[in-house]
Amino acid sequence: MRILVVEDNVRLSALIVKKLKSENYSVDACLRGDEAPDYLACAEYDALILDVMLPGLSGLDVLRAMRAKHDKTPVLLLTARDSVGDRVSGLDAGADDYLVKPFAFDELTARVRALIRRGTNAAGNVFTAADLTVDCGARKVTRGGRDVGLSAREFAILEYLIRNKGIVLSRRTIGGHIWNYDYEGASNIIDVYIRNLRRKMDSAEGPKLIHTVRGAGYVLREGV
Amino acid sequence: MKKLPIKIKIVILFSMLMAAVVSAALFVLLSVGEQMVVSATQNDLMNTVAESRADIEYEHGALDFDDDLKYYENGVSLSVYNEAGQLLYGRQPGGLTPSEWPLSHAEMRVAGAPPRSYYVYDMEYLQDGYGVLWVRGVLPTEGTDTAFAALMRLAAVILPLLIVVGAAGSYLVASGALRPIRRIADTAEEITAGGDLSKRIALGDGKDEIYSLAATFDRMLERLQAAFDKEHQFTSDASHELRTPVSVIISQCEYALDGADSREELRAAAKSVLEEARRMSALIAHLLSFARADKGDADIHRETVNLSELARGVAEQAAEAAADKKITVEAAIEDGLIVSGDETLLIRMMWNLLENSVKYGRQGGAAKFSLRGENGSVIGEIRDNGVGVAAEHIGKIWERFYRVDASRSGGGFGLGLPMVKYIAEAHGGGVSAQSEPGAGSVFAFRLPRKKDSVPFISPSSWPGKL
Repeated sequence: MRILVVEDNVRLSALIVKKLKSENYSVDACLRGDEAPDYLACAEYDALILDVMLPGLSGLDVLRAMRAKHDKTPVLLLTARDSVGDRVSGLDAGADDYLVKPFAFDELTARVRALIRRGTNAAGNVFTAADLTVDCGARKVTRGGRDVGLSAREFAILEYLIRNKGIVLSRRTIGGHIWNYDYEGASNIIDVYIRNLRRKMDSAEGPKLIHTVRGAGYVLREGV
Repeated sequence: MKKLPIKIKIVILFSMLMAAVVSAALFVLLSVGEQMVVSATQNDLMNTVAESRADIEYEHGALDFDDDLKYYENGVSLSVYNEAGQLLYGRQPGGLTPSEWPLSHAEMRVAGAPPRSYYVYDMEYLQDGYGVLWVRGVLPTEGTDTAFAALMRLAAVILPLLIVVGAAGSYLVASGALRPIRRIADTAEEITAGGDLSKRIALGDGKDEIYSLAATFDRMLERLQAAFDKEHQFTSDASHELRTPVSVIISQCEYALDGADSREELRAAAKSVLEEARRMSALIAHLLSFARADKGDADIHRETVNLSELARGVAEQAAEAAADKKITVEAAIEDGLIVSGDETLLIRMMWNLLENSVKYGRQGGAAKFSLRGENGSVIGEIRDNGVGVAAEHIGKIWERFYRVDASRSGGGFGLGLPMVKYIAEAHGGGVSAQSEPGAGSVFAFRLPRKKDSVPFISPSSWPGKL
């Protein structure tokens, strides 16, 4: 899951990025409001954490411009304690949630999880496909009742696939959501990851879940 | 004091120290020496007075003064008195008569004031048959005073002279010792002013601290120069690589705008623009990877990684990719090799090596990938029977943008192997390459094996599973 953090306070920004990275999100950060549209144009984000008071372009302006372009990326606004007006106009401008500064980082990550969940129309943090269960809160995977040990990035790829169950995802899209940068050869590396994922979970009894769509990418679905 | 050159500081300090030592030595010498000279003089006086007694006899009702008794002996003037203080014999210098200067037995006294002062010593004794006799000795203090005055004058000349000589000596020694430092500073100054990194201090062979400092500086300059040269080379290579696709894009666009008539021609132009743009995008992605790599450890996401599993995935993927060229990929991978590192980078490292040997492999050839643990290390080897690399190139293949055959630039940028080298080194390991042209090459990497790692039981190594 890839997240953009737009916050002009360098220290707070660095703390948020660190916390999110420790939760295995891939994170980009920018410090100015007028840089945010460039970031949004260059990559596909699963969530946006947006400060209201920003140099260059205010957070609300960034939000309005996004929604005007029909960008539905979930947005979490960061507002000051005594600005009811900001919160109201923020939510009216299209924000999905807000958090009042100062906040607890655990609450921030919980709200980010909730935002991403809403973005993928999921009811909770637990996803299932056939006999596969992926618990995104506890970061636990079971297949046919048996635990599957995955590395952080393997888990991130599986999480992305299962959140988008039934949707074919190109290698470029997957790469963009897993690493906060892209590089040549990433598609081969994704192939290796998918191969290892399959070996770890598809080799068990039960149907094959991760399918290759020739020339398009990968999809996780039940059945053929 | 802080603004003075070290050389001057040393001279000042040394001179001050020496002045203090010399003064102390002279003070001790003078004070002790004066006492010694004074007491020796007084002893002379006492002895002379005491010995004179032997030269006085009483015979036949008269005092007899022996010939040995001089009025004046060893600078001492002797005089003899009777009990009433009447002069019987000798002379009394400076008018030191008993009436003016009463007789006092065995007492050392000083009479008069300098420069005419005297030590006076009297002795009373009983002469057989005669009665009480007094002997008085008088000795001028003048002699001892002049000796000391001379010594003091000598000291007044020698002391400053010693300090001056010492200061000059310390100046010479200090400037000799500090000259190499001056040279280090001058070299640094020249480099700062002119930006010429090829300058060296070059002090030559020496064993002391300053020589080793200069040698350290030279080594640092060596490294800096190499790094700058590399940076410069990298930038110029990257610009060169980007210029080619840009010029193709420009000419294709010009053609599309002015020359192309049919839809097919426009499509063809757009297609080659797309191809070149993709190539540029790939190169930019590479450059970004290296920029991140050069930044240091920051972007390495370390975790405990089962390298055996990763290697298996990479080998299978490479086997699939090599099938088009009818190259077989054989893997001999030891189980349970655990390292601490960035999973994605490690996959990339192994992938780049295998891709490389497939790319330069012969149609129908074979690539052998082995991974094994050895003395706390994990050794990976990729052996192919492809075209090989000539000896003059083998050392350079790890350099960025280096291509063995510049004309065969179809695919790569010459950045795959440098990335392998960077990844291995960032994980505390290394790379090596051996090749025989026409016979094949062996590329190897070494990574430190993670110690005390609990044997990792992955689902794939469960019994009964593949």
